[in-house]
Amino acid sequence: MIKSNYDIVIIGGGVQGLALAYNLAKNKFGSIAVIEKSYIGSGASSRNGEMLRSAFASNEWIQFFDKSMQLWETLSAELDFNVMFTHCGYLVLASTSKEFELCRENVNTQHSFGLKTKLLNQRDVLKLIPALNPEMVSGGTLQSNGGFARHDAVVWAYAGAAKRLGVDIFPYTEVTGIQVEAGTVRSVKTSKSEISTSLVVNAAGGHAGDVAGMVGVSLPSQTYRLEMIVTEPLKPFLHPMLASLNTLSYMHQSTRGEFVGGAETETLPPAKSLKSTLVATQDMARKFTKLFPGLASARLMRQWGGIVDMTPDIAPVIGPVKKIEGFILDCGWVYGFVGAPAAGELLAQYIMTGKMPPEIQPFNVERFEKGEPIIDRSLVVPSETETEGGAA
Amino acid sequence: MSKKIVCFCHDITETDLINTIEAGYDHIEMLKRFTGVFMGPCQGKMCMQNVLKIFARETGQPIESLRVPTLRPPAEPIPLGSLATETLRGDDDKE
Amino acid sequence: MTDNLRIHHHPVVNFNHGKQISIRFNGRPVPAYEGETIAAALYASGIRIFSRSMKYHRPRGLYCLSGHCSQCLMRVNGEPNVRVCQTIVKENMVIESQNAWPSLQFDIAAIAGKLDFLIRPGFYYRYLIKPRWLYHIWERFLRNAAGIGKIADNSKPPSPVKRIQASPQVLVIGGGIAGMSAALNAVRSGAEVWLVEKEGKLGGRLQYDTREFELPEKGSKKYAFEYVVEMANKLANYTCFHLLTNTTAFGWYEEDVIAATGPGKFWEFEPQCTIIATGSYETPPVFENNDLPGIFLSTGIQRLMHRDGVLPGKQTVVISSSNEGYVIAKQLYEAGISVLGIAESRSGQSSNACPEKDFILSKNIPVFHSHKIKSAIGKKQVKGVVLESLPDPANSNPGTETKIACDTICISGSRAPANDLLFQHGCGGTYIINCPDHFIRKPEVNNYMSVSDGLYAAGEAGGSNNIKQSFIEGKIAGLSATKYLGIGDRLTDEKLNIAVEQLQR
Repeated sequence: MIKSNYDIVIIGGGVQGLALAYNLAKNKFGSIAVIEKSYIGSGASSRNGEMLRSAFASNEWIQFFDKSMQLWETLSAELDFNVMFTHCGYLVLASTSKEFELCRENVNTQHSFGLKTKLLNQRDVLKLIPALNPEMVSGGTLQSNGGFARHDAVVWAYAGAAKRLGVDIFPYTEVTGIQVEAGTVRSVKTSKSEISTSLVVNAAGGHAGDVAGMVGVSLPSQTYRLEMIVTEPLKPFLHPMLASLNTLSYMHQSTRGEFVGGAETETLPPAKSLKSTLVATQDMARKFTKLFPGLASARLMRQWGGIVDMTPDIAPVIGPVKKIEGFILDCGWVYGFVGAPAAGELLAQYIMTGKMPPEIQPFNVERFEKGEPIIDRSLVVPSETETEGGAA
Repeated sequence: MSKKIVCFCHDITETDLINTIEAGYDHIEMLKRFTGVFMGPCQGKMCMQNVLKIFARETGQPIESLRVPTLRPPAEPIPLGSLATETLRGDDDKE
Repeated sequence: MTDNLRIHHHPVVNFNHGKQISIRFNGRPVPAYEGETIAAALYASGIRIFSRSMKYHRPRGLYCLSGHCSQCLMRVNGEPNVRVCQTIVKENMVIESQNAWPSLQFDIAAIAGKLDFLIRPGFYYRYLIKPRWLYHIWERFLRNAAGIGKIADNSKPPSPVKRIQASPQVLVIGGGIAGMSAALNAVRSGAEVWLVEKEGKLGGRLQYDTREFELPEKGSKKYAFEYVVEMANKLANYTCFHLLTNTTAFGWYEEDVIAATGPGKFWEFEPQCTIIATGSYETPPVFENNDLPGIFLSTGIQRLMHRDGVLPGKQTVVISSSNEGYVIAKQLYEAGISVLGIAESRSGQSSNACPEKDFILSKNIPVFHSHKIKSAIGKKQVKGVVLESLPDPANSNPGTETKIACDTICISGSRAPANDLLFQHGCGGTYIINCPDHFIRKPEVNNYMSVSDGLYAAGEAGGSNNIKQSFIEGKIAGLSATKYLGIGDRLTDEKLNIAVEQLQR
């Protein structure tokens, strides 16, 4: 039963919203409601590449995501639910000498932040993954503490732990409006009832733009569809997680042995649809069989699309908005799966104390107004900032 | 009692499904993700009817009210190589 | 060669086994006949276990023989996870079993089945959290235990596939009786019709069905396989008919394109009219030990007997919930197998008469009314079956068990519409409950088999449950398509009305 009043209402029952709810409850914040329009984890939280890594190439990204990686190490024990963190390492693959040079530069940056990444030459990479097409390998960087976890398990783990601490989670409940009076949040209208509250967190993932629109805030982001494919189970041949700079794709082998991969298809326009497109399917098949010629005879078994609300610099927006008191953003995530434990903990700190922790401070929404996007050169998803010049 | 296999691909028994539903995974999408039914090489062709029947019975919902998991391509497992076409859809329009 | 499983003389079907060749299975030579499937050659040579299940490593045998289930996946010429029931043998083909050690017959990992109480679904979420070092060991173990087949080696680069775009007037998907009936009625008006068929020949499952019946306007009884051959021959006479065999239409993508893949080619169809006639999947009831080698779906047994000319066994029990049980029982009998009994879930009163039932009764084959299958007996192969009586006024003791020794169990399952493409496209569906034990999710089909403008569903894909209905539905869909295209003549309406009347009868 939804109560008529909560101290905080979190919109979105994905990994972000649930991680925040759990951390607030752990610190005895008060009454917490999580509103989810479908079943919990139904959005991008259960439709992502499950990748865990922190080896990026900028101060802001490395600081934040390395904090998250530390939390991942103990997450299963903390939530009393095994999230199946598989420590298989995370390899960024370079296929050309130019990409290899980029890897070399990135490793230097990463080392300066104390990350233990390793630069691998062609022979090292082929020794690690013999199934790779040698023509597509010139080297790479390996983060050995990276890996993947079961995305569904993480959602269930956070939801279970949050519930035990008294958080009320309402699946199949849709937010229809947010009431603002004199610049301050007053209540949240849902498909079931109205909840009065003074704090609302927008953790609505691919629908964050719609939720922000309810209070007249326009986010500097656009909704993109990311598609992924899964093959029939194969015996282990791809030990680490793999991201290919050349083909803008990322892939791993699941605990069942399925090859799971996704790629950026440049010609795909922004979309909110969860349907699969033929052009992305062909593109992924071509890229993956180019990387792994042996996959040509592996059968495509499932495919799906998920949506992300992507900002011009691909970094999330976390924190308050100027005009509306009590409306907090936790959206614009593309790497939201790996980032959730840190975002949940740090944003909870901010909400409890009013002080913004330094790791999430750079991800404020004002950076776009000021024209100071965060530049990270290691991202597999192509940055739109340079090509489109602040299209949002 | 010998096993009653519902999902042949992942060896999920009727008892497994009942236990999972009782543990709170009572949305068909969550049941699928927890146990792996519909997700094996048969893509649910062998188990869909039986899983829905058991799910309806255990949750007390009438079959008519059930939502079938969204069906997406491919309808049959297709070798990746046969999808790796020389050109991509839309390439010809560009020229 | 244990040739006694090969059918050489059959009262209805003529078998012309091809030239004898040799294939290799796990290193040893196996004789095979040209043109038959790998599954047939292996089964005839005495192989019963075709794979081990993924988790408990349970023995699995041939089951559906239609390429639907996952029980006959093997490595063929270095390609993993090949469905051997759909793959034709070639001289010197190298076939290997997967995911079993040291052998399919004796697989050490089958111990997992005994430890099942430790490894129920999701066990890994609840345990192995602490200590972390133990989890790391488990992590490695679980990872190595994953998967079925080994990836093919990367020595030969895959050959690029040619993309072909086509916008036919009518695209028919599925070449069974409904699809062929639709195609025939559309080509007669001169429409350019393309038909995509997954298997090598037109006819669908009726190619392997020896039942006799009479179609409307045909005047006399014929065998099912004769009808479909006749229809295929008729279609071949039309120059506006284009047939793509061994081609699978697998996806209806967001771009509103139907994608299909065939030998060396990739098809992107944007047809003016689409007729979905993809048939159905036979789905089994759930009972104890229901995955034991020697248990077959009835369509699988038909394919083994009438496509491949191989007997599934010597003694069988048929399990059914409709008259289809008698149909398959008669066919088993004619192939030379002793049918030891038929268990059907309907009571004696609600089980209506049919010629096949009369045949079964005339041969004194026992029929167990109001009975279901309780369990299959056997460790690696069927040794018998336990039937259980259901509550029924005529049964004094419900729950009474009957044990019959046999080497095969033939399941006449229920039919789930193969409506994947329709639902991918976003069509609505409704559940139809046929009886307490069976329901289907039927696409929403309006008048004249239309799903939406220019899209039709016919036959079992649209929820039909008998052959005549599928035939007539195909006819209506084909005629409706020509009408939609504006190329019908004044006879089209007349024919449509007659067909609709036949359907209602």
